[in-house]
Amino acid sequence: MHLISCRIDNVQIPDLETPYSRFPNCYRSHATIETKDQSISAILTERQQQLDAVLYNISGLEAVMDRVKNLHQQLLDGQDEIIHSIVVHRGHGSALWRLPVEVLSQIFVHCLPKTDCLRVSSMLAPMLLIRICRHWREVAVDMPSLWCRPSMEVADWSTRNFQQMEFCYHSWLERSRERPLSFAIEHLQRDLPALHKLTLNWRGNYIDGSTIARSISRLPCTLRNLTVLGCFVGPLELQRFASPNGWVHMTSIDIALHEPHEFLHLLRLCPNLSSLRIILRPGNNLHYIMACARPAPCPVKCAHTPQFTSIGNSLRTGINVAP
Amino acid sequence: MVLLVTSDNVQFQVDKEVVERSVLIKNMLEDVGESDQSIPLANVSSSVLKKVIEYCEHHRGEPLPSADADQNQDETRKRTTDISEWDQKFITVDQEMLFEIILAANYLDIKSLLDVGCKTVANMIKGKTPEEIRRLFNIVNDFTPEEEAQIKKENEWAEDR
Repeated sequence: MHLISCRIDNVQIPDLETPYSRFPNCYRSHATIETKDQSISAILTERQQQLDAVLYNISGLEAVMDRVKNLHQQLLDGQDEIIHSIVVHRGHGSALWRLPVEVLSQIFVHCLPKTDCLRVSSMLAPMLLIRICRHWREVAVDMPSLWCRPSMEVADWSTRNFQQMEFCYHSWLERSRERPLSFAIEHLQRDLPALHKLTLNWRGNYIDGSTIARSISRLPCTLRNLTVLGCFVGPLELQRFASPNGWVHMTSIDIALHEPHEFLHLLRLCPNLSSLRIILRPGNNLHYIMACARPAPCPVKCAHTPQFTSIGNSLRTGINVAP
Repeated sequence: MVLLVTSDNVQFQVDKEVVERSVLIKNMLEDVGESDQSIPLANVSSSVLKKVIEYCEHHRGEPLPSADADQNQDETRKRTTDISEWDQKFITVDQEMLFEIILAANYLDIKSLLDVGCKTVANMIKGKTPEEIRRLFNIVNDFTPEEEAQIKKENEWAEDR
């Protein structure tokens, strides 16, 4: 009788060939069946024993495999613990942990992107810095200067991510504490009821005038200072400015205008204006504005702006003309 | 010449003009006046001081940033991570030496060197994932599960943006 023999690296299958295995479906006479019954029965018994032996070996092997898997997992866990311990002990020895908080803070400031306003992204500083370890988080959270220049994206306020976004911005703004905030708002479409100072910085090659007008037409009446950067505002947008009451309370405006004479329209809209800085395209006639503004600006008087004390303008290159 | 003594008791004779790039040493020399006495630097080892002196030698004669000017330029200075070619080469050292140089620059009050060191570390951090940063600096993630949950919540919306 040949049972299956199993060595560590090799399984030996016995010869399963019999006189009956070649042509199992051929015709047999009754006499043939009778004479060979006994031997077939013996073969089947033998096969059953061989099958039992295989099953026994498989079961044994599976138990061994389970034990090996278990051992492997234990080794992996051990490896993790050893690596963790190495990291901990290397870390303890590292001069990184001897850096005073003010030096770490300075490093964090250098980690900020070079842009004026900071994109709210978990992969960029300052948000990246609070995801490393507790110490870094404590230091970064305790630095209002890292958190006072957010670039807020308000395009998808209506989406279901609103709560996530609100929480994210809330956490961000909370850390800026008492520091003056500088916002860049993308796609402003909603009211911000307590906003005092706003910079609208338009980016991209194509700026839709209606977007600008829509954004500015929703300005809250608490707003006092407005800066519009990145685009030259034309007559169409200025006409649409006239609708809201928000302009009445404005005291300081910094804006790029298509045409110099459009500033008079602004003055009419903003009777409480005390400071206006206009950016003009190169080649525009500065004398027009200067003639209006000096020494006692008649158009200013016509526009009923008693608080008006300062006017400045500059070309795109940033040349300032004293008021 | 000024005699400096490091924490491992090594003496360095350094030109006064060079060593005065350190505001700490400059003030000490001004307080003490002309003297042959050595200046002990208990927080700086000889290998680190050697590097610091190399930096000061190279930048010898350059104007020192005044306190006012430094304050005014603070934001601008901090927001640029550009490092000159020589400084970059100089600061290409192993991580431990980099942190030791930063510590020494902070202790000796050499603002420009501190700046180079901090910018270098910042450049190492930028563009990496939190896990890569931890691996780079051998930092253990020691947040509790509650803190992890809080961070996850804060970052949910800002993830991959």
